[in-house]
Amino acid sequence: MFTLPATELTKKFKSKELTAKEIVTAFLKRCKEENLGALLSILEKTALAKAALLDERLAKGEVLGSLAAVPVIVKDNIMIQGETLTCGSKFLEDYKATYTATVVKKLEDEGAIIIAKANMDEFAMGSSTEKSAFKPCNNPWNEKCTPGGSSGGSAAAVAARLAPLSLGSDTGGSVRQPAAFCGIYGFKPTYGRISRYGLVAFASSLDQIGPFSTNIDDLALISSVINKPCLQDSTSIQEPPEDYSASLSGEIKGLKIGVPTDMLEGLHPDIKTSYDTFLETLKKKGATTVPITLPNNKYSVPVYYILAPAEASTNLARFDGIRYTKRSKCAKNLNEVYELSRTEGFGPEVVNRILLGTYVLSAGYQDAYYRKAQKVRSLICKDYDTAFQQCDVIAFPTTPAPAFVHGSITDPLTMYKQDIFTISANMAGLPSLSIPAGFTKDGLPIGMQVQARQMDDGLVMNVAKAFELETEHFSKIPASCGELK
Amino acid sequence: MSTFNKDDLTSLQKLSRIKLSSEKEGEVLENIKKILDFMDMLNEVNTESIPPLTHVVKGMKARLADDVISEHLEAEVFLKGAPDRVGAFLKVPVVIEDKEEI
Repeated sequence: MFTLPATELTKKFKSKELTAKEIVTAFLKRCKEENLGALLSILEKTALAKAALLDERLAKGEVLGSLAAVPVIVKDNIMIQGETLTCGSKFLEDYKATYTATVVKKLEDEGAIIIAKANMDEFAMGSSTEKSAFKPCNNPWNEKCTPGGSSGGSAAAVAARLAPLSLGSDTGGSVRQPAAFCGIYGFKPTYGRISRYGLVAFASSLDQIGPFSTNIDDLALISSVINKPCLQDSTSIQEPPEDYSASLSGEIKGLKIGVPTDMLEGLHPDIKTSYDTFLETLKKKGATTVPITLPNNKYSVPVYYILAPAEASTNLARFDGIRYTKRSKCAKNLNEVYELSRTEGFGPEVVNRILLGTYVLSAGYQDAYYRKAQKVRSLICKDYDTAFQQCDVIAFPTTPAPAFVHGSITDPLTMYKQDIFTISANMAGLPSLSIPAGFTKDGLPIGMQVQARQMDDGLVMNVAKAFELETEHFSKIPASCGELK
Repeated sequence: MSTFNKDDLTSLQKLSRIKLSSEKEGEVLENIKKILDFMDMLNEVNTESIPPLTHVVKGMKARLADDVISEHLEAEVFLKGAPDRVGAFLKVPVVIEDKEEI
């Protein structure tokens, strides 16, 4: 059951081979026994109640949704009314969400059952899930390594088959980098394509919710369910939803793939080999490659670490000791309520970024940093416009190196540079998918990234389908999972 | 090289309502300086005639919602998360002292 795609699992439920209760009970058991540190809470009671309801509805002969009885795990910065929502922070340790995110509603409308909330770097600020205030998360392929971040819990959970699907959020690569590190699919959709209502805001001009899966059909299915216009999110694109499953022909004859020749220095040798094989495989399916350049990509890290902290410093101003559960017990006046609650509540990386963001927005520095970064962001977008005049998609590795060992990166700047290949898609609002594309000699997963023009989300998934039809990387399961039945 | 110094860090702590311990201050100061130095690489980009990017989706216009009552958050539900309250209000320590001369 644990190795079945979501598409198969729901079929087995609908054909009465498995009950929703059996499915949910089995996955909940795996969640309770996991020792990776992937999860922050398990929603046993509500999940079992929803399963019982689905079993009843099926028995009555009702037609059920496309994800009926499929267990899903969501990152702990996505709200489910009445359930804890920690964002990986002590600040929200006791907070219960007051409403349900649109994405969760859409999943539940189709019969999906949310079984757990996933571990994450505090307020999604990090690339290793070591910055969770509660516990670090391990990589299921090698427990000495990180799963990447900030959605490391969501990625590790799907790789370890704790659920066939999960949701994360991607501000500068926080879905794609952990997907690459954990050997699964991770997708950042076009900016605005998936509602963010009920996602705790980090950097609003960049944040997107995105799904993880072990195969492309499942990814297309869950993306089709959640890519709906949402009136509660003012940045939601008001175009009709798309059925991505319908675009998965795997036919890519004539597709032009842009190869950014100016970005490929310094790759880990096994990733370079894997990249060459990736392109060759797609060429055999009828695609051609075109050399392109993205000359301003090298500025994406400094631009990101100006814009994202700037936006975070304002978004996180709402955590003030007045509205969300925690207030410092030592505060004697209003100023101390703010100051002591924030000082006690936020972890060191969040503090770093709030201070940095406040600095780049402060009088006298705004033009030199924030405004300058917005201008360079325009140039990064322009590079993509130019590139897409010559090609349909752009492909390059998701990360320059595979998963790194816990504790091996302590300098914040070195950690920030981990995002060098993923940030530009957020800068330009593009759909970008990390595809499992092989393993290093040490057995660590490798991810390849495919990006396309805004709203070409289906095209990106179809390129993945073409690759998946020729390879078996996606079906490999970490040895740490033990024998799965 | 960034000129960021201890006074800047003190002023930032006030602006962001965060208080660093004295032993933390040195580490954070070094971190921020290093990051700001790294950001200096943006100065090599000529952006004179480049407009700042303010919205990433081309052509997206601000949307007005229809003036109809729809699903909304009940005050009682929201207030459940508050650390202190009086009835339907959030409670905070005294802001203005009750002095006769005022």
